[in-house]
Amino acid sequence: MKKQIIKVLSSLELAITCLSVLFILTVIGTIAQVKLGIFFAVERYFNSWVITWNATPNLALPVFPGALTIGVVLLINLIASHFTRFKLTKDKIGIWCTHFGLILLIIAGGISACSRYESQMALEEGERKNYSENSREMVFDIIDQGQPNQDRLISFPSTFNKKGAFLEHESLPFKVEITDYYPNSKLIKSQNRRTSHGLGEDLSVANIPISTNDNVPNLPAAYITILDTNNEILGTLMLSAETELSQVVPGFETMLIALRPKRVYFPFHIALDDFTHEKYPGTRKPSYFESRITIHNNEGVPELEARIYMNHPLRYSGHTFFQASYDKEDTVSVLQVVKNPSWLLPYIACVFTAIGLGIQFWQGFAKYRRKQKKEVNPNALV
Amino acid sequence: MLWFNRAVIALVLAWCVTPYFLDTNRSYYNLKEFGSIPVLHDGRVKPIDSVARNSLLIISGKQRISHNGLRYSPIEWFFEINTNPKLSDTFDQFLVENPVLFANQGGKFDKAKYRTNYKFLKSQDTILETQYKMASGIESKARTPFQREVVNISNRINTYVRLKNTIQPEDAKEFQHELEQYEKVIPIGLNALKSHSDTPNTKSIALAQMNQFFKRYRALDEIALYHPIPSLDNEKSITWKSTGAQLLAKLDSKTPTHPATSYFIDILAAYKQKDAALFNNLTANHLKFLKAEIPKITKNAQREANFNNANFFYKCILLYFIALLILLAGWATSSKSLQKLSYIIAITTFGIHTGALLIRMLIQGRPPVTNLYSSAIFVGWIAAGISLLIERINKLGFGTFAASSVGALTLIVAHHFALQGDTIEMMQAVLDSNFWLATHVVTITMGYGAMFMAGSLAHIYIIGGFLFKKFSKEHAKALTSITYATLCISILLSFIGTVLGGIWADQSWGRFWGWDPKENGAILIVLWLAIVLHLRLAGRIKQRGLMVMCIFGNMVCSFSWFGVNLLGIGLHSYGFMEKGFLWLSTFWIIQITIACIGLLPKSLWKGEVN
Repeated sequence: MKKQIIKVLSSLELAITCLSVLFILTVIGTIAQVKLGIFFAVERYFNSWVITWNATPNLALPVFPGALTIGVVLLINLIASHFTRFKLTKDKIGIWCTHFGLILLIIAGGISACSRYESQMALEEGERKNYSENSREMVFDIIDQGQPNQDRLISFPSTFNKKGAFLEHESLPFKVEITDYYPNSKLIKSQNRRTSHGLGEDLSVANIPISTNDNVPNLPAAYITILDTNNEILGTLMLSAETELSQVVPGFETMLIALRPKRVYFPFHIALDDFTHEKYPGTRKPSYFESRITIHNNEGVPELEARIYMNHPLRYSGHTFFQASYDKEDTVSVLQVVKNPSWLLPYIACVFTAIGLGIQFWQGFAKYRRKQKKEVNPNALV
Repeated sequence: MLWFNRAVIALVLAWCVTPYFLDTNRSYYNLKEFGSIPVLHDGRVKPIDSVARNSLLIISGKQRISHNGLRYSPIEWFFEINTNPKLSDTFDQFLVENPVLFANQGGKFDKAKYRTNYKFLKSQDTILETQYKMASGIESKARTPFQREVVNISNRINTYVRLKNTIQPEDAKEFQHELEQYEKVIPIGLNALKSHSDTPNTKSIALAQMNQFFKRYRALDEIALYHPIPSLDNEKSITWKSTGAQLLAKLDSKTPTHPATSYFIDILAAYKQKDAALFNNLTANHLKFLKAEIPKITKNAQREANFNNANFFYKCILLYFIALLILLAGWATSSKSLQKLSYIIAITTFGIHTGALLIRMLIQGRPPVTNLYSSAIFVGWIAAGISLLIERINKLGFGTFAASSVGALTLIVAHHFALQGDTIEMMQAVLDSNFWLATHVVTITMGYGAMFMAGSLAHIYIIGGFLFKKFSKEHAKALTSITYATLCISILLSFIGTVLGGIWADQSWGRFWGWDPKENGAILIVLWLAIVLHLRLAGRIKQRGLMVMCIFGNMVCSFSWFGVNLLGIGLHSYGFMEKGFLWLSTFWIIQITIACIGLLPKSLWKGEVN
């Protein structure tokens, strides 16, 4: 029985099945990007265990394995084959190397899928920041300004972004109920006030369809109710990611609350000294972007000056900063910030596989030539 | 037969190479020499011949234009619209590819595709303008076919109007005379500005006159399609100026007049007066001046003009086809000498293909693949190269077949890309890296080439084996081993190319892999090849199965090459095409048909297949 299982797990047929399923998934996932945009299509097809189909609004049926599942099965298949079939002999070293590299590559892909985090940092010339923001992940942030040295930030992950959720924390003297949540919204003029404090006197929130355009982020909004520890209502607020405004929590002068992009804080500050945007002469086609930045430590002492330009990102303290975009007539530079602890692993993996394929190809070619010579030579004499 | 083959090679080479060195225009005017004058257009310094060619392509979708039985080459057309705009306004040269646009006019205007003239379009000005305002506010992807055509036709009109107003305003009757007037007005006007003594009346007249010229030449500067005058104030960086800007500079008495300002104006005047001797003299003088001042740029522009004139790639299409036809005749008659001849023509064509590719790289100063157009040329080149190498080892004609068929087809694809305008366009900032263009882009394109070559060999197997009794076991075996070897080359190149792409992405975007459409396209090829090789290893497919898989490989490969560009999304989508979808579907239908033939039971095949 055990032998049987190992035989199936290490079989070529399983490998072929996995590759074929991944092939189909890639085709579907690529075409889906036309409608969903890259971000949502990747989440649905490639960063998922299973692809579901909503038969009815409440019933989601699994219809196809996601890339993560296929990756795991392929990994098991490769490892099983390594122990049973691939031998490190002179003839098979190419095969061994190729597949060993693939094992590393799948592991690297898995680690990257779990640990990679992307955010953006928009800097005006002369501005200095110690955080970047992820506009794909909006969160409720409560800022406590009553601390002696530094403000305290309590951030609730995006899993709380739904109607009926409660934001609670042991150190908070109040809790927040999400009375209404809009995944994508627009502020409109309105006289019907729904809030007791802050925004909303002449504004209210209108629900709009979720944006799948990769360049247009969704701007959620929420109506919230502040309750004290005895569940007494202290007030109601309207939060909107369109303004990102932090508002005073009713009853607590030093506490602010906001619905805004999730922030990633760094143990250092980045200042944009200069941004350059060159165009091809006589056209509007950009030929070159460059951000000159200085990194300051938390005491404000400059530590590093760097240039970030096309194909030349800055790697600093586990983060990669690269030139992504620009704004406001070339005075604002937008840097993409990527945290990817496993960035080196794919390099190693690919070296193994490429060398393996090279060896395999060379051995095959040499064999073919030897055979060819044997077959052709007698004819050549005739 | 050796002398005959040598004569064929010599003839082919002479036909292809002569126009590179000699002026083939049958004209008293030295048009080729004029065409090699460098100007700045669309962010790149190029010969004026290229400006004329690309503008004509954009406007009419053709490389030649005829009117009243006269055929105009791009440079002749250039002179016609610059010296005789009244006539050229009546040329039916504007391509319209939408039957709805002017359908109310009846006649030819409700055809799917026709060409009309500027005079007519001018009469439709108001309608076009309102439609254009509406269409240009919408993102290009979201436009309807009608709106797309409105934008296209407006661009064509724009190019035409700018081209004929770059050197001189089209309404100028005697521009040289007008300039003399201008020269006279300047000092009077400038004096009037400085002095207070003149009577107010004469002062205002002088200023009004100067102002009129000022407005006129500022408009000329703004409308200029290309900038013909190199400004040499700073030796390191040359700024190119329009005629209008140069004329305006005369108002500033401190800047000396640029010696080249009036050359173009004088040359146009000489052409208009039909004075060929003066025309040739002025052209030669201007080139001499440029060669002395900016020798490298002038030489490169000359090279590009020669290259345009030679039209190498177009000739390669014809030659590959001839090689293919001779090969088929050779197979049909079992004639070894015809097969040999086809091989010789194919290899000569490959030589020309190589040479043209190298000249193009030299002109652009970049690795071979920078856009879809050049990738098509390179795919054909690599497939032809590997195929001909195989033909040397295995002399059955299969290599020649793959070389000439893939070579011809990819060059036809390239030819269609070229109809969209300048093929040596400037790179987008993120792609501006010769290192990665030379490594990632080249390897991945080589992978495409090998894949198409395997697909082409599979065509011989399936069609040959299905239709011909002559197709023997040995043929089948030889083809299978060549195809298998090609697949191995392809997976090696595709994998390394994909990985290099990942490294580039990591270097420039901070992530190795992002499931971007073009990345998916690359991984699809690798996955497909891996599936095929493992199926064969597991014994699930034999000869015919391998061939059918290779046919599908053609579809996979064309999807990742063009298909993802048609989707038009993501960081990689730099070459969006609209009509391409139709061609891609046609290709796929043909491939599916062939694959279906390949799947028919063995008993229906005439040849000895396994």
